[in-house]
Amino acid sequence: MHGVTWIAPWRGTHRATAIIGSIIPLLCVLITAGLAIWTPADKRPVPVAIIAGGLTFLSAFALAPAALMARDAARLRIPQMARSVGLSMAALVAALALLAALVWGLAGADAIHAGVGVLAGLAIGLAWALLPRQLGLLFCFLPILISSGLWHRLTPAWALVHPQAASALAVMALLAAVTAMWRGFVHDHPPLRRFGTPMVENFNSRTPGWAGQFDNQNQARQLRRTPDWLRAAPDLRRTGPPHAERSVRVLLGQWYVPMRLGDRCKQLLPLLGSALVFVVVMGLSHLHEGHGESWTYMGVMFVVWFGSFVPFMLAFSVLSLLYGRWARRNAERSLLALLPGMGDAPALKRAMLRAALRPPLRFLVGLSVVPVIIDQLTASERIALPFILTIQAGTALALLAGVLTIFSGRRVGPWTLAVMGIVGLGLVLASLMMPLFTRHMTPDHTLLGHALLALAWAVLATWLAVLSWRGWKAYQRLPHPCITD
Amino acid sequence: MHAAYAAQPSHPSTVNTPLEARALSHAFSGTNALLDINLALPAGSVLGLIGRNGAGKSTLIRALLGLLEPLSGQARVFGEPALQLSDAAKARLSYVPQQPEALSWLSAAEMFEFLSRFYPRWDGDFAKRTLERWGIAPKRVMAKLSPGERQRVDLIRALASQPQLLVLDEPAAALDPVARRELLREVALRAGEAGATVLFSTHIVSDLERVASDIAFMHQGRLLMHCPVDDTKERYARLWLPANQSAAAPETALSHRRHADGSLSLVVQREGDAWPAAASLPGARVDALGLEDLFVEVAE
Repeated sequence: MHGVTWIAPWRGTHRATAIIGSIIPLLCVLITAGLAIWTPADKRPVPVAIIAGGLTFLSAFALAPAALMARDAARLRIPQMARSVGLSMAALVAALALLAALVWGLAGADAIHAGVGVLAGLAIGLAWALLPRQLGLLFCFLPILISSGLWHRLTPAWALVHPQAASALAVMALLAAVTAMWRGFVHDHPPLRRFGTPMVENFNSRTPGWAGQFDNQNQARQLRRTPDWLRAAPDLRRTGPPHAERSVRVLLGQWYVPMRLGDRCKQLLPLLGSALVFVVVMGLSHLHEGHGESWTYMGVMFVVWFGSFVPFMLAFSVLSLLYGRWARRNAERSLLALLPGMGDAPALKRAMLRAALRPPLRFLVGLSVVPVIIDQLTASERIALPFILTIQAGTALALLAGVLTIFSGRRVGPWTLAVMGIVGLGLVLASLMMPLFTRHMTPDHTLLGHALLALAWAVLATWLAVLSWRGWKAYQRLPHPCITD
Repeated sequence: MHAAYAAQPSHPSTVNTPLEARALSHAFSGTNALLDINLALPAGSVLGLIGRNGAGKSTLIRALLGLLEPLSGQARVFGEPALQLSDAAKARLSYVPQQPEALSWLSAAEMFEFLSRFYPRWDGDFAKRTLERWGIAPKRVMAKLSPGERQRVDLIRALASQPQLLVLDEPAAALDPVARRELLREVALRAGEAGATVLFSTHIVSDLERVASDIAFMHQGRLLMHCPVDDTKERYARLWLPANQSAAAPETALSHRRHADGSLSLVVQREGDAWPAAASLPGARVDALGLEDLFVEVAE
């Protein structure tokens, strides 16, 4: 194989996406190393699982997009290139598994366990990217499913007796499925086409990187694919000159468009569907275990889900949406700039800020109530409520900074955004895992850990406040808020 | 509601000029996009803005409408600064951008219902009838329409508000010949019967000849010429100078093209009633130019 083909997956992926997809596994390696140094050997979480989790991100975001390159090559009738990309992918996956096995083996640990674990992580990431997006969502619940009692119930008895052999078999089966999905995708015959387009299609975008998920091309594609009966219709009542804020929401599109309850449910159907799967999985798990502990566990999971990842994803999707919307010159901005009845520039600026910030902030406030209620109901010691609320406050500040930066037209470099995203995600994860980290620490170490985390949050908050202030000043200087260049 | 759109006091000299540019200049990343553009559209005129790709037509239109803040100079719409338009001025103008993309999550009917609340003179019947006539499903989400249908919906949107100033950026780019002909007819009708002022940019010279009363030619960010369409043949011509006379080429020529034999082709403009002095040199020849030839000569 030619040397260049080894880096084909890297070259076939947008740089920002590849870097973010690579930094997360690096962070996981650092966390594993930190755990190895700071915690007693008998109380360490399973380090292979952490590394494998990180590699899931690598394969999903940095490796899988190479499938697009391979498909383009196949479409351009360059089969040799398509094969090379596939081979390089297989070689990289094998090399990573061998490397993990080697490192664990040299450390005197179970090398096969490490290799299989790493393969599993990589295969799950690839499967997530190559599966139709609705099915891919199920993979988000895989960790919960694995750690629940239901998993043990579904696992055949022989597999429980020989877990290593069973895991190896399962991983081989998954890799075979991934290979079939890869081949199908590259040759334009995805085996699960009827369930929708693979997630990796989202990376095939004019707007590069993460924001590309929500750019016009992707949105238009999604709208075209939505059958009429599933379309969520807008509620245009109370729009027009007396209702500037609501009118701006119509122009912002997607989640912002005012809708009646039924249409909003239709719009949220994919998300609600995945939440329903979560509830069903956890409910079945509870029925199986048949004691109160699983309710507490379920409560903890809800808090973690609604208190941390949902706000993070909310901020990400809202800012990506606005970024994509504001990147287009011939669209809603021009229309809004020349729309009569919206008042003078200061009034329109206020209406736009209110329209962009009020719905997500309202949602965030609603979300912050959920962990408090569940905390009261379950009285779980595992819930770090102050940390969850800190995550939500940080999300609110990130939203403010992001909206002001986008609306003011200030250019923030991709590296700044990448660093901010990674620091934010790192702090979210660190806040969630703090109770786990500190459980076996001395009070002094616990205090130190809390202080360091608080300091990191304070630094991020200061940064966001500075961004907000600069954005606000620039926004105020604009002659009107829809200047497009 | 709509009565609240009170007009702002306007500059007295420009109140009858729907659209005006004064010394507009702009640059993108150090490259000049507009260079000292001066332009005024009298009420009721139909100005065709022509130029090659990247000549600066769209940038000029965006600057004229206040969608872009120029580096220097000023644009005025109905006498008001384009960057601070009142609701009253906005209600009197419509703009159709190149490749319209706005509100693709709505159906045409929903977009019209939404926008009708903002325009005091919205003609709902016209919108409905034209949608029907052009065979566009009103309840189909716009993301599912073809580019041509999408452009037609936006043209209906612009016309239904019964604007006094209509600005169209490459309106015929995605239209088939039949739709293009209908659009031009509608533009001519609006200008002729309703007295609307129209600015449209295009590459298609025949469209200009069919409907424009005036023509403005842009090249590399400069406005090279602006005159009534009917005057172009009389005002501009190609001057051919043999090699031994090429040193006498007038500096004011709009274009210079040297041939392999050393002879020179120039596009020249009448100075008063006469062609430049070089036209009377021995061996010199003046050729009349059609609009398309003029465009090609200057743009090449």
